[in-house]
Amino acid sequence: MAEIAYVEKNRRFYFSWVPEVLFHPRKAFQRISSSSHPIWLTPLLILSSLVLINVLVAGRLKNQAALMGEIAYPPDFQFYTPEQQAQYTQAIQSTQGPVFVYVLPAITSLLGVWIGWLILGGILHLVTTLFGGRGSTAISMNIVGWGSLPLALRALIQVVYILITNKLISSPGLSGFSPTGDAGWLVFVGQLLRLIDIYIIWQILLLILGVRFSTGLNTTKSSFGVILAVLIILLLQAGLSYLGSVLGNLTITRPFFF
Amino acid sequence: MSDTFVKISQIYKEFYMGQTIVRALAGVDLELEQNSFTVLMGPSGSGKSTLLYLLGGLDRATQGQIEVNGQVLDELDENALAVYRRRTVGFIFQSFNLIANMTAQQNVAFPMRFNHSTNRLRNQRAIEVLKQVGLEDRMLHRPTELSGGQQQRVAIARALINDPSLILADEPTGNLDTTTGANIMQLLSELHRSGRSVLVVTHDTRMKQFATHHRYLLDGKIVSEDEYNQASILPTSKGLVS
Repeated sequence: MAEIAYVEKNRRFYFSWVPEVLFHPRKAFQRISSSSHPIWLTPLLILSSLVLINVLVAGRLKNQAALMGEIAYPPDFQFYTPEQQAQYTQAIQSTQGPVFVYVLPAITSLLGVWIGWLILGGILHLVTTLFGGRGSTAISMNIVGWGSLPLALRALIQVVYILITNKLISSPGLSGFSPTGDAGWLVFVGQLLRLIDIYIIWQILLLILGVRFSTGLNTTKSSFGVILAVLIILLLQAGLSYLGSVLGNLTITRPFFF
Repeated sequence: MSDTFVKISQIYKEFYMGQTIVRALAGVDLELEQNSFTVLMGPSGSGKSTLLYLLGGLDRATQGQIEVNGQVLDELDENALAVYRRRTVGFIFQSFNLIANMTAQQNVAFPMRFNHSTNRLRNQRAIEVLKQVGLEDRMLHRPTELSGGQQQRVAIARALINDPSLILADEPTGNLDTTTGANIMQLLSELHRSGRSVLVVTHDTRMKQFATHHRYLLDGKIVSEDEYNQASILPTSKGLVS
């Protein structure tokens, strides 16, 4: 026991824990839950690196497409008036520089990782405490950090897919089930569905394990607490994406006013 | 006895311009027969383009019903309406609406991008319809490298790419000189002879000689030829601002 404490106090990185967290999560989260030291840096560094690589790989493809003059036109583009077509093309071309292709996506991705971790950790601690859990904030942050590893795996798989196929991922998650229409709530639901995939479910399962071990809550309360916390984060993310698409004003869905 | 292909019943269309309501269509009733070539004449501001856009599924009516080949457009959701626009209707605009940084072939193939068809099939079909409009030697030219008449031919080819049964043309000769305009009319007439229903809105009276049916629109209402001719001697059509 003393040896474990010594290791935790003096080590900054725990890369050897990664396979165990993904493939033997019970054992891994028992260990993570027992440590009150900040051991969240390793998974967050991995996740940050992979989302950055994802941005670089996707950016290279977007750059190539821009150089070839390729623009992703909406389906009804032939019905736009010449003025609307020119405005749309100009707007798209102005977002093809390095700032829009690399810098802003990198910043937003990193902010998503770190702020998402902070908020989810905070909400999870709050919810589990309300349910009678006995965990600390530090342990919650550790659990949320390590529980985010499936998202790193998702980023890695996306990078591999983009490199192999030379295509960007246009419909992530459950976005194929998105309802169609211009109404704000439909766009919001579409953004929410984009965020839901097998990796999020995997993350939820890992968090439930971690919460159970760290707080002593039963499976039902742990599950409810984790699902509630993750749902709040997903709704926040979808809301921000929705706001971004509205403020960006690049999605002209019904340009037909005569 | 011929079949009714398009049935427009009591269509109203109102626009809001600030606090003002502008009524573009005021209870239009119109029927088009299968494989007919109808010319809809009317002065500027009479609502003819609005009617065409409603029929093309580009906009929705304030009131009334439009039925095309048994499909009631008001009952279609956005998705189904997009499919209707893609499969049933071929649209030709006065200003061509060609995508500036695409070649003629890419412009023509564009509507097929969203049909889940392969690149090869799209290109084959684009070449086929470009040949049909006599532009096989201009396939790799961009719109700016084509004359007005050639651009309109590309637009017609694009309208034909998904083999629609209804061709809608909004002042197709409006931006063309007399000879080129006549060629485009001839081309539209050939499309009609090949079995399609064609509706052209125009105030170009020469178009009448190619048509099987003539209709007249004045101040948002269908009127008889006599009423139309009588009104034509007045300087402008009456505004319908309420």
